Amino acid sequence: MDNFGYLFAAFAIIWILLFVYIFIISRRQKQIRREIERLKAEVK
Amino acid sequence: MINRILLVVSAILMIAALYMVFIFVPTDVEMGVIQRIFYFHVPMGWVAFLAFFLVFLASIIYLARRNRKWDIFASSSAEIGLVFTTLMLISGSIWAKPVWGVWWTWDPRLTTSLVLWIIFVAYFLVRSYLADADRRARFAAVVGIIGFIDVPIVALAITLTRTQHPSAIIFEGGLVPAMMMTLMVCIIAFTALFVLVLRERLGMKYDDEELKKLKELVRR
Repeated sequence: MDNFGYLFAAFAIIWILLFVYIFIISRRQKQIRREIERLKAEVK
Repeated sequence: MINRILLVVSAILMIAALYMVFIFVPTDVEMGVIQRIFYFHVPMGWVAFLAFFLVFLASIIYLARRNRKWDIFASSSAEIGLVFTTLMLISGSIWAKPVWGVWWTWDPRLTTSLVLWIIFVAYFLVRSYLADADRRARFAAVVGIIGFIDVPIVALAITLTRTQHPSAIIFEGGLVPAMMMTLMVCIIAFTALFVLVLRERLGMKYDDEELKKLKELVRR
């Protein structure tokens, strides 16, 4: 059976969604840390 | 430091898993190449169940002790569980199309899995609608505990009901050693990824808490 298209689609979707999720987390994490540093400097 | 080690370990395990899935493991004689989705579909289901089990435990501890850190832990784990349940449903649907001829069928296993997904979407709706932090944590904990009840129902749906979904071949010895080994490597790889993402998510939530406190301080 030739179902390479479905196999490719499944793996592509899984990896794209996983990367997008991890990218969003790490970007938000960086934003929060930057803001913490800025506020800490302001408090000092 | 631990997260960096986990990142390296997860990356090595994922590369090993991809090698085994696409090169090492033999092609299934009945389903052909599409069966290879199995090696990612099952580990994603396992990670989702593990995540929801942790939500269940953390929610019980939160209700008993009312310590915010358990609510943070539960919500972080629930988020990852929801992501992996979504991926499990999508990969299952793509697998179903060439094998069953349909993208979706109201089979007991699929239906209970979808119900699990809906319950944890509701978990986040509860969290977003309630402004008061204590009420939000309390209500979410209750939804998290009730939501976990669906996990054993999903797991047993293939043994207790008549279903189109493949049976529990892992426990019935239906996999040849190479297939079993590939599945185990994939399960370990996804579990390592789960631990890494959970630690990152927890770190982010703690930072978020610190940010809120700092904002309060600046406002005064």
